[in-house]
Amino acid sequence: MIEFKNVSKTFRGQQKNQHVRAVENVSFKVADGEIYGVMGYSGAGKSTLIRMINGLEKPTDGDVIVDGESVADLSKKELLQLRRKIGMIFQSYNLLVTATVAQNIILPLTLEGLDKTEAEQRAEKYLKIVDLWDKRDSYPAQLSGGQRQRVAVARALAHEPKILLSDEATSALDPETTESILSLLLKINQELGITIFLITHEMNVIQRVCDRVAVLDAGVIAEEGPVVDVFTQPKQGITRKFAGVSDTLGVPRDILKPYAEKHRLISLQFVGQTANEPLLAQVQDKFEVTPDILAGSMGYMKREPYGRLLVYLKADQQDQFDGALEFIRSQDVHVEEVEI
Amino acid sequence: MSDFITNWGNVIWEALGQTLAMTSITFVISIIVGIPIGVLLVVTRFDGLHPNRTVYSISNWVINILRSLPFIILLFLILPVTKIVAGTTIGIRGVVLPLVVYAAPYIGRLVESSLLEIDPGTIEAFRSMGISNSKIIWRVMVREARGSIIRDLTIAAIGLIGATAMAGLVGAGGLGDIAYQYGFQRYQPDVMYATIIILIVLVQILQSVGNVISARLKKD
Repeated sequence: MIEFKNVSKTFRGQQKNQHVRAVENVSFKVADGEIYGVMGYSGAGKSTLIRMINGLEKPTDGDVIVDGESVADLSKKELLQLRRKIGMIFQSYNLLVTATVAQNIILPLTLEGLDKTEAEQRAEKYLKIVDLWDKRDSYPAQLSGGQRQRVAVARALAHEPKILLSDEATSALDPETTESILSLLLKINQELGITIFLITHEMNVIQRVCDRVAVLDAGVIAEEGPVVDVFTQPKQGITRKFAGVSDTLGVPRDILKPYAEKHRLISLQFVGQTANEPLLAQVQDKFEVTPDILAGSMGYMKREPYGRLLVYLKADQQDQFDGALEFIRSQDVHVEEVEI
Repeated sequence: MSDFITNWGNVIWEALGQTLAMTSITFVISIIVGIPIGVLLVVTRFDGLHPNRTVYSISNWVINILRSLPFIILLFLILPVTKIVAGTTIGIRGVVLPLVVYAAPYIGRLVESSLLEIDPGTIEAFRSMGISNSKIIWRVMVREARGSIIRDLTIAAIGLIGATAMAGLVGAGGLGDIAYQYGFQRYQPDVMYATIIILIVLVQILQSVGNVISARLKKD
């Protein structure tokens, strides 16, 4: 549905040394019905990337293909047609401040050529979906941030798009409101089958809703794949930073030093429902080692639970230790030795 | 008081009519010319919907030149053009063109600044919805800025009333002319005071009406 093929984008300044390479040789595919997230710090090129999907920015090199057609090859008219199939929501909501909630949805529809009664029906339908029908005569200034974003979502949905682009849509919201917008996005994705492409710098957004993720660092994709894989076994430094994992689970290294001097530290990672058996108890019985939990954390990747443990493993012999590690691996648990 | 009205009522009444006629005719034409000027400036800016450096620089420059001329100078400077366009350089007909040339660039500038106040994100949102630039300009930007545009137009209308006072110099009459001719040249201050009071009332009414409409249209 959306495909980036070796896409680069350079913004030209007045002089040659002012050129900025915002995106560099980026390739990835977004499948129909998927929620795809691009994560990166501000300035990483996320905004440029998302704007190339609906042609608000044009790539300098490479192709952005949406629905089988290269966006750059479209005529002006075709580009307008394409944009009508792609909804977009923004960090700052971008509603008309002089229009009521209902007018905010009706006006763009009538500008697109829909007749008034149909536009009104759609406004009602989608305002009900986002649960704001009772606010239809309010002005944006009278609404909270989360409500404004829901109006923006309704406005985007009212065009009945196949794709929804979300440009940091939750970045200005508090955690509770963020959660309500995210569950709305999940609902839209599941019930209306709309493909969602989002950019964010918030790890929890990716964890909560995305099926797949690309980590963008200085215009280049550092890592890409299913969210669970990318964040439970991050390969790049930047991904680790986002995932918030130091291998010590946040325990300062000087505290761990005395443990590491005598015995070994290991970190365990559980994904999904692998942790039914009392793993550490089994390890203790089978290999006569004493595991001690120093730190732990639990979380969710979309619907998959995952957990992390930092364990102090007292083993007298090397082969006991090796055996224990082998056994843990055989239980589908990711394990690594932690060097201090 | 009744003596004053019998003596001067007709003269002042006629002058008020002339002032209102001059102001309203030139105001309407200035709006028709001025709003597109404002739009042109915003649209051709480097970050506008149709960036065009040449068009922007030339219009910017021309507007600055026109805006730097006091009305009294402008009135005489463009006499030859007025003669060609209006067929005469005297009377109300002769003063319409100079007043429009005076007011339209002013309205253009005011409208420009009002349109620039619109959040660029809002414009981007409408672009992302596949709405054509011309619809974005006239149906979204002008609509969103209408509260401040009304305030701009109020300011311009009051400026126009001031400018019409000088129209007496080319025989267009009006309240300003009465005040000058009778009050200053013939030393009849009561006539001058009467016209001044009428002018003050006129401006107050205009400003209040403008404020009310503007406030009603602004929702932020």
